Amino acid sequence: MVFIKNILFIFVIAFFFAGLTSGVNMALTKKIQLNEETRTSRQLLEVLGIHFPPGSTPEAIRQIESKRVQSTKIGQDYVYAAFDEKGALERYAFPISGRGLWGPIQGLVALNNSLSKVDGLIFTSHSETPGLGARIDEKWFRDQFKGIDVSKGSSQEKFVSFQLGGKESSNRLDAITGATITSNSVQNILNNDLKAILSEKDQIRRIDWPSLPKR
Amino acid sequence: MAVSSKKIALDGVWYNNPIFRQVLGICSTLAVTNLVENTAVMCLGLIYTNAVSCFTASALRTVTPFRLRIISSTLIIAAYVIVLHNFLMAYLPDISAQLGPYVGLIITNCIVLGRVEAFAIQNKPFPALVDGVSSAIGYSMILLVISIVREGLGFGSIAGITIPFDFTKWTIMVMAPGAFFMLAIVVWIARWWGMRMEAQGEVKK
Repeated sequence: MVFIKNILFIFVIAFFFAGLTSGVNMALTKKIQLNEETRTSRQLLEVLGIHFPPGSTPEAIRQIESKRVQSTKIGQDYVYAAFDEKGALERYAFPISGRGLWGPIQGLVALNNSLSKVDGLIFTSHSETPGLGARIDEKWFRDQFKGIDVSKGSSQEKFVSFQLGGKESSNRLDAITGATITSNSVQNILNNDLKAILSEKDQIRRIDWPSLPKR
Repeated sequence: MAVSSKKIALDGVWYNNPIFRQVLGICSTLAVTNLVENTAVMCLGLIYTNAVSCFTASALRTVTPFRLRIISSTLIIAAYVIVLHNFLMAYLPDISAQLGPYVGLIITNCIVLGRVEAFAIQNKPFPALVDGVSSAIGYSMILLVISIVREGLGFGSIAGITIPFDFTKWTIMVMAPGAFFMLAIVVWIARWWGMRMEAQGEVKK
């Protein structure tokens, strides 16, 4: 009897709490998904250097994105392109990814329209140590990558390296103290992925972007 | 077992403080205290989880079979943490992104299971609620002190606001060893203070 009572008890409370969590989950899924999408759009706009007012609503952000950004695929990889008000191509953005300290690091790197210079970097997801490796999200760290010269294309040996004691050239940057593995991961991801992106330079240039909707 | 709420509250916050008396919840004390902001959200999360879990476990205490108490407590705690996690993702997406892994880790915080097991399942819901809130506050108090010192010395800022004078940052303070040193120092001071108070109390009698 006790045995049956125990089983029944677990069954009832498991049923109740599973119902509670799935109820909450169902009620909030839409909102969470919208937040997620808005975050992705905001990051894409930010890395592409498209300005939007800080308190923009999700709808406003989506609208700016649809007016100014186009995306397509080369093989398996996405390519994003930003166009200015008149419809001229301003910048490209490419997804990058690789191994971090605790898990994968994913991000977007922006290149200028002639594919010769890095114009921006943002990390879309990572699980680095908060307060240490997670500081790769800070603006000062990401902004260092702006202006890195990639004009030699995929023949270039290394695009980024970290350097003690300040900068010697635009390709040498400050790492994060106490986060050596994360810093090195970022360096490797950029070196590998920029090489891969630039090896498809000609294909990227030949992309036939659909014309943007007229305003 | 009719103990006044005030005594339960004082016990949770100070005399039986989960950190320096019971030495529970040390994992998160070490992990989240290098930034004041993260610590504060973690503390609020724990206060909520501990309060509702203790209350629910206590409300169900008469029907919970003795041998199934841990499994049902864990289920209760996990369900409430998932609810919290969902609410953070929906309404505070920025904080949720920063705290991602930590919120889920509240489930494994020893204080919650410790208080549920040690107090809630033997007491009525209201005292259990008071106990849950007060021991979570006791935990939060110590964590905030540790995080203020660690962020202050390690990053030269407190809750993201830069300290006006310049000094060499103690990088070790934001890494794991800094947490061990600070925790030991805080436990030492708190216990010394507690012992002094006790000694004085005895003299007065």
